[in-house]
Amino acid sequence: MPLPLTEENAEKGFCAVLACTGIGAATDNCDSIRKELIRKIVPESMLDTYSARLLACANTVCGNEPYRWTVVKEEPAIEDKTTFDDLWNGWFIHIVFE
Amino acid sequence: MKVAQIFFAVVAVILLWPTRVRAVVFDTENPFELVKVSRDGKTAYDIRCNYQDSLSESERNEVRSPANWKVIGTRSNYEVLSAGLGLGNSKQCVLKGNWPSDDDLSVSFENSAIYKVKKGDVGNWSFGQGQPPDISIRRLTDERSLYAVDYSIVLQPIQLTCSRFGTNVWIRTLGLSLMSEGTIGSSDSIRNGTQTSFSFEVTPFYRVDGIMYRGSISVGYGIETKAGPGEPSFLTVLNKRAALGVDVEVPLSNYPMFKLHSATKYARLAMPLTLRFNFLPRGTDGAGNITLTRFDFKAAYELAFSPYFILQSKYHTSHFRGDLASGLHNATYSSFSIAQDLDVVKRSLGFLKLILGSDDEIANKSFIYFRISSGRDSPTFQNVHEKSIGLGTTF
Repeated sequence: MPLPLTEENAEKGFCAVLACTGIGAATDNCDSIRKELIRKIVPESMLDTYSARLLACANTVCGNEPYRWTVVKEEPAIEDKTTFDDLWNGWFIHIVFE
Repeated sequence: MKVAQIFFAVVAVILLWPTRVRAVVFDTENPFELVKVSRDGKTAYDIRCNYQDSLSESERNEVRSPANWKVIGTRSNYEVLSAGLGLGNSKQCVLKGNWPSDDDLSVSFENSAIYKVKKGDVGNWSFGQGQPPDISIRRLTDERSLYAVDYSIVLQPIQLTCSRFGTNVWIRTLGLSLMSEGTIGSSDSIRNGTQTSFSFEVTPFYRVDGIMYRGSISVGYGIETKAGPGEPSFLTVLNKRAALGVDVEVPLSNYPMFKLHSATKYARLAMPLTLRFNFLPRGTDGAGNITLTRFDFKAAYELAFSPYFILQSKYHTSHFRGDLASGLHNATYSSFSIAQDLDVVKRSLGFLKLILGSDDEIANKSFIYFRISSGRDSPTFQNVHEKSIGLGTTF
């Protein structure tokens, strides 16, 4: 039984996706990193593959238990000024469906 | 009398007005598009719809009903197996079925207008991706007149994302990558040199205990140069050769740091131990002389305890095969850096913005660091022992 795609559950899924990429501060919620720039949080040597890491995590986290949502295979575009809030609004809510 | 007639007419119109005065209004620019999705661990193609206004509960139920949809192809009509909605403010829905990605599809909702389905990002090509260059400027503490600039640029002009989703592994194949990194210093006593390569990469990702790791296998061609004021030209070619590289992120090596960050809420991605193996067959230098076959092994690790205390260490070793009469011999290099996120200092000491520029100018990313490095490293294999203090977007 898939988890209903509510705003609350989607927030949990989003934080789980970020945690999957290796951000420990996102394990409970994403409050401490919402306003942060992605370019600042991600070490330089991992930045060029971070979009692919996010999609790989969205697929494996949200496509499986307990979420089981449909995930569109779209990598996010990460610009110099992209924050994790931008990632939520501009990417995550567009790639998950009930 | 006339007023009464008008009143009753208005009441009658209100009472007899169809209960469904609203309809789902689809986006005018891009109402329907074909998108590649992961369904039960396999690739499928769904139709994503974009609508304009928020939907009422009854409209949401209508959209969710597969019977209200028709998908028409040039070769066949297709059954909609299910219809789902995205989050409220995404204003999107998705239709699932077994239509092929190469048919020209049209969609009708509740037998209203027929919309053409645009083929969205179902192809595998993407172009012109990259990150802003990382640059740091450092001064050697032993000799204060010596300065060096370290830089790193990665561009991915073409990517063929033949992605394969599975439960745990996702593979992105064939990325064309242009990478250049190096050091340009004010004196020959600094390890001046650049390495630039152009390569095809296959990139598997694997998830271990909840965290994603990356590997990569690359084949390419590269140029190594020695830069500096003492050279006959500013960039003297030391080696032009093919290269085979393998990158491995060691699973769970970042787990202690991941747990620490989850407790302290320090938001920096916990970096795993990264290993790189390079095989560089014989090439030629700028004068046409044959260069030796070389094997490189590189390791990098970072421990980020807080914004004020980030440790990074690197170890490189190179082994040559062939006639070593030219004076070359196997080399090792190690470096140890202590860095501090300068943005934290800027937030508390506003006057530093006058020196370092506004947040916008350096995108809130700047580090001050102290580095000790020792040994011989590619591309010049010059033996140096440096202590330096630096400022930059990397360290």
